[in-house]
Amino acid sequence: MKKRFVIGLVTILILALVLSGCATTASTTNPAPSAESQKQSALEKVLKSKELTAAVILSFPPFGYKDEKGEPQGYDVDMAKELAKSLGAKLNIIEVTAANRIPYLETGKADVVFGNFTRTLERAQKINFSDPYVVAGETILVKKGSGIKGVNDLKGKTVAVVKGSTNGDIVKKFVPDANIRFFDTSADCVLAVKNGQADAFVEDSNFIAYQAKANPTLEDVGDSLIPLEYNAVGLRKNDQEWLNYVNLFVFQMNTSGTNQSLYQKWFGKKLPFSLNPQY
Amino acid sequence: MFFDWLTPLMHWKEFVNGAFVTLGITLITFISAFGLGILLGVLRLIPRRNIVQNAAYIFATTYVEMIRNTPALVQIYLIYFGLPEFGILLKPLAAGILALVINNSAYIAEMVRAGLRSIPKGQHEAAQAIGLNPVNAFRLVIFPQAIRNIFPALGNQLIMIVFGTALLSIIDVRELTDVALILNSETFRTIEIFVTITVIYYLLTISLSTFLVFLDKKLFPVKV
Repeated sequence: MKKRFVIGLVTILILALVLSGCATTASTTNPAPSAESQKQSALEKVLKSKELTAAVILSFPPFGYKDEKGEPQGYDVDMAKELAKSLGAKLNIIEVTAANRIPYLETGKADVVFGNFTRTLERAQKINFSDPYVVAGETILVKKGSGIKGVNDLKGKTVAVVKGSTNGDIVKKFVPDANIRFFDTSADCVLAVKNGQADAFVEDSNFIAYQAKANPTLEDVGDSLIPLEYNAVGLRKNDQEWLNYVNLFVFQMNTSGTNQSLYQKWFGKKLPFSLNPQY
Repeated sequence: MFFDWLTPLMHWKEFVNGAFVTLGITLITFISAFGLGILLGVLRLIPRRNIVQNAAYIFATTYVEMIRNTPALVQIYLIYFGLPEFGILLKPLAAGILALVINNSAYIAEMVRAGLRSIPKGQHEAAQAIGLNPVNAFRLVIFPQAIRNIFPALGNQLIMIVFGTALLSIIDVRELTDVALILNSETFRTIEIFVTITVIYYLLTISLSTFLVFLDKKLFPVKV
């Protein structure tokens, strides 16, 4: 009995060592092939495999959401479809959140991110951004009759934001004594405001306007807290070819009017701000 | 890909706070769930001789079955986001602890039931024979032996509660995982941050396990 136990234990230990050895040799040999496969641009990869993997945030209507059949729909989804069409590739949509979209790009799990992705310098240190295709301010969603009219009324109030969005830092900057609650999805934030668990929800102005229309008990208030946010497609670093292509794609979308008509389809109005800042 | 270990180190205060919140929630949850679990376990074993006892049994069984067969995450969501529909607004910490207590009490109830059932009938008869009333028989003879039997399982459940606190990150209870997720979404130092909290969780649970082994030896010494 004892002998069998010892043999069993030794076998398991050997297996564990072998497997961990395989894992480490795989990861140590990977940097070489992965460096080479990173030399192979995502553009080449997509054209060869005829498959574009787009990471889209599907918890952020009308940018991205799932309809009754569970199919992805939305403004960002349509943009992804246009990109795939231009490459002659099949579109493969994977769902991400604001918090994990960058790791998905860094690890090559996705070729692009469409998620109302704001260009910031911090993010640009980890990934590349295309030229902007949508512009937004930041506004506040509150319950009707709450008395909150703008950012100054947020002092000491509870503000809901989504983990991984730019809004947490923005609120901290303007209202340092606000009580910030981080939720996983924008739906949770809206629900928190409805329930009274948060006094306000700060988010993209396009999104807030849509939520205010969809929820009769809520309203959007406030001028934009900050200068405009320019949102673009997220791409992996060290891939200039892909960046060039997607930039041209965005340019074509803008100049051909396709972007404007897609925006109109989902938001019911024209793009509220110019994509080219005047300064 | 380079690793920036300074990022988690610079935020050590938040991690330490998170660890303390995790530990606090764990201990409060365990003690409450243990108490509630004992009650539920006993209710599931009482003889159903009259309406009241029958109702108690049915309540306990329904509670245990429903809670055990639904995910903890869903329960947390329902308690925090769903109760306000009925006018019950709970602070995140209160809602989180309530959800964890309800969830774990169901599992502990089953452990208690198993432990009590494993006591041979002879013990009950002997306790009765020496003149103990049912309450004292339970308190002095049956229950201590049952606890000795299920002590390892209870210890296991305590460790599971530590991991269960990580689920509370969805309602922004600032325990360790929530701190990590927020820091990650601000700095994107995913590997450094999550390796750090893995180490912290490991230290937490190892300390708890060691304490439990010590407690086991002290409370239930093996008599030769």
